[in-house]
Amino acid sequence: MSDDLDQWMTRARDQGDKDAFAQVVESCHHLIRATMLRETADPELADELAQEALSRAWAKREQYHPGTSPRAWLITIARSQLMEYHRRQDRDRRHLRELVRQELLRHQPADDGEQADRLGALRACLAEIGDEHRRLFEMVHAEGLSSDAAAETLGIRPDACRQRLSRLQRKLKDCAERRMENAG
Amino acid sequence: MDADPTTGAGDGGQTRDERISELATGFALGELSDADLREFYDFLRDPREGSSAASLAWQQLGVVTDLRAGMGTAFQDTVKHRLDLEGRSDRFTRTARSRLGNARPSLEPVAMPESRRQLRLAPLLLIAGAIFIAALVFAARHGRGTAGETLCRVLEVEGEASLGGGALVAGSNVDHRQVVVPGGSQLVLAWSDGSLAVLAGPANAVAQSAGISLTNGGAWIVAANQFVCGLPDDTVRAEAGCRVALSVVDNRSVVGVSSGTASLTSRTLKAGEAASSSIPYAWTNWAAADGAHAPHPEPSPDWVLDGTLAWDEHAEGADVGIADGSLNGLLLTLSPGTMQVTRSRASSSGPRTVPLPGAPLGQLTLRFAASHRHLTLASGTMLLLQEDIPAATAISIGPANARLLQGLRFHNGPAPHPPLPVHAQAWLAGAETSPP
Repeated sequence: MSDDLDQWMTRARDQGDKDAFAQVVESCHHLIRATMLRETADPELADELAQEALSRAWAKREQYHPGTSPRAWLITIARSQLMEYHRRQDRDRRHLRELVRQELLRHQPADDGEQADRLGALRACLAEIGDEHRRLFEMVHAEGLSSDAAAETLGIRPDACRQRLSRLQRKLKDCAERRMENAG
Repeated sequence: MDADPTTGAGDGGQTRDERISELATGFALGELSDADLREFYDFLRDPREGSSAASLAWQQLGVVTDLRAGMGTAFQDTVKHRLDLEGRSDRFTRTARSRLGNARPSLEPVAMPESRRQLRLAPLLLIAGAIFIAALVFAARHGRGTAGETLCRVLEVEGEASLGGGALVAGSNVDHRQVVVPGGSQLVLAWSDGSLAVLAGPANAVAQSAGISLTNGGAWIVAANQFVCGLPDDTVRAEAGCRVALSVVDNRSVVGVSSGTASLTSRTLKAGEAASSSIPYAWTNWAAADGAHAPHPEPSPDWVLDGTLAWDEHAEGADVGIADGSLNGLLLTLSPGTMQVTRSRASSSGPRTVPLPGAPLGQLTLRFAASHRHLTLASGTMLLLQEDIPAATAISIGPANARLLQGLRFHNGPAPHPPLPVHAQAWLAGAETSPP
């Protein structure tokens, strides 16, 4: 996989091949998003930084050194985006959301380095939950609906929808952990 | 809250963990009200159970990111959309914004087909466009920027300092614009609650209502209440009564606490502790009247050794050895006009000889400032070595010519004191606790 990544990134660099770069994005986006989550404690911000980093990586693709690790290169770019964000977000520092984010970062968990395994286990667990529950995840996490909009579609109250999401996510996490333990 | 979330039926017994998980889910989705955010913050700040609350919250955040990564292609679609837009009008907008010094973050919401972001984006872009055009007109009329809310004021200036291009004098009000302190100058800022920041040039900083963002240079903080220091690679929260020294060079920060406690992103520092790149160590500061052995500080990636080298007619050279407790060491052999740098173990680079500034037999002010692979001399000469510079667990001066080296001072972490005197009462009141 590492060799494939390097080849795709090299092709993107040398030939401006967007399809090759799309393969790099497909293979690396979860790792970059998870890494940024650990460093921001904010999934929305993490995704925006990761998107910005991938856009920058495409724009600066000629700076990639063939034979090295595209993952490490992309994470370095993402981290520089995060530093740039920190420099520019001073005005929001007082904001309550920023305070929560900083408090979460004080308790940053260790990196388990198991993103790929976790994602596989999570997908397997998703296949086991009921259709209605999976539909809720799809609406919120795949289609980007707000939980209020999802609640309206499902005919439940908004606060109940968020509680349901929260409980289902915890169950999914437990399920994925069990699967990983059994596999390990 | 509903007892049965799957039906949306009446309120009932939601446990603390369930509530924290729900709040974390809402936080991850960006949907919490101010009241919810406050409640979430209070859970996280709880001195006894804050850690367990944060652990629960992190689990939810992780699952949200995993689900987004595993279920949809919206993220990838957005990246593709952005690549397709590459080179179009937004680049012009950003460039123009940058030229005007507008600090608006570049991480705007981006289009995402059939998603929450897309629904929000079109009106946001229209509004942002209108605001940006208005800002262009406003900036064109008002030059470099405008003053805003007063956040702190200038207490003392040694040399010169500026705010948004205008000179600062004692008594000046300071707002959100950038403060620039040139090399050799020093600025003391005071907040209404009694907090103090001393900036030593060259330094760049932006004041906050209860804190400061330091992008470059050295700062010494006295926190009357909680005081937040934004650094390029970390955030420091100094608790009330804390005195903290900061140094930022090339976007890398070094933090030292001389009294009280201060929290970094990943750890809390107590009095006498410092951290570089989140690596903690004992903050050490010693002085010797003449050439002598240093005490044995803990390994630290950043350290400074200052001194004066005074040659006499019999002197041939002086040695300064720097060891890190293993076989890794560095020997600096000073001779009139030159210095030889030798690694004590096999090195691909071999010994290097560099010229020393000034007259060969003249008195020389030395400053060895180590930071990872860079060794900076007082003259500004920077040596880039092939390996990391030893973390300085011991510094030894060659006995034969130890008398040549005088006024030696060593510190790791940030400099314990500002270079120039500070007269402010709030500084002097606790100054005796300042040196580590």
